[in-house]
Amino acid sequence: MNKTQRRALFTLSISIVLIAFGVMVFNSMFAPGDRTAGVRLVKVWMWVILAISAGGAVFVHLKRRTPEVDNDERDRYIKKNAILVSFISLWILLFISSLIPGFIAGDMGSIPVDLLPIMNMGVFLIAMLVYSVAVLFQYGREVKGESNE
Amino acid sequence: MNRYQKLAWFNIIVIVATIVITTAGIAIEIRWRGYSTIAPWFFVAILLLLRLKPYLFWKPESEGGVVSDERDSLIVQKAASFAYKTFWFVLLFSSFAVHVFKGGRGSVPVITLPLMACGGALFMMIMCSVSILVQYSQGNKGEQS
Repeated sequence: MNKTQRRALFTLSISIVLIAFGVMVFNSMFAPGDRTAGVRLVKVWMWVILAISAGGAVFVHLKRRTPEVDNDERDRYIKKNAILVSFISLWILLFISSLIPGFIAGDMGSIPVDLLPIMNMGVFLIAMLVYSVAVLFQYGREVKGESNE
Repeated sequence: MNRYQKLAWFNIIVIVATIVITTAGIAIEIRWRGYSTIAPWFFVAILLLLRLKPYLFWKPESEGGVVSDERDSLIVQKAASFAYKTFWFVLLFSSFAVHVFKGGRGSVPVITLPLMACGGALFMMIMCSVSILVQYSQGNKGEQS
């Protein structure tokens, strides 16, 4: 398993964990009872998620400054394809996430402000997940017996 | 000035013109009529100019008509990467900023979501174009692309 695959696996696992947290937070917003508890939970989790994402971005940036010896043309091609797939999925997700609240609340309706970071963070995490899956899928499709070590 | 620089300038001019004309149109219409229905269509109409790019900046298909080299590809690739990262940062930061300024119990109109996505797309194009122009301006002086 090379560096790109390890990085994709790391991103995949972090994305899945954070999406699970996001679903928890989303559920807590519509839990019966006092909504304040849910809002407080939203705030706490959103800052945690933002901190983890920012920390992850800084970590990846610092790691990228070290020379990558196991990065060849094929790796770059795989990453380029994965970014393209992730980019297309981003716009599909943004389009869907813009339409759904309109159908639920009506064109002149409004949504809780807590939903905004949850939705955009959710789209971000799903785009990351798509990127990681695309990278791993492309490596998985390569000729059997070839080693990336 | 090569093809990518011309494209970048074209993007910036069209997008900035779209934002300025639409904003002015909406402001004038609201002042006169109290509501705005016509001016938002300026947004779509002017942005359609971006579809003219393949015709305005066509690639020469003759044998000697080279339009870009490795350096140009690298510059465009870096610009796209920078624009994508900046887009995410701004989108997420603006979501949190709205959350902080409006308070936890506030609400936003549904139209905010498509507007944010649309604004994000325009922002990404502007950042990509600016990044392309900045990278070319940092190149060797006197170079003819």
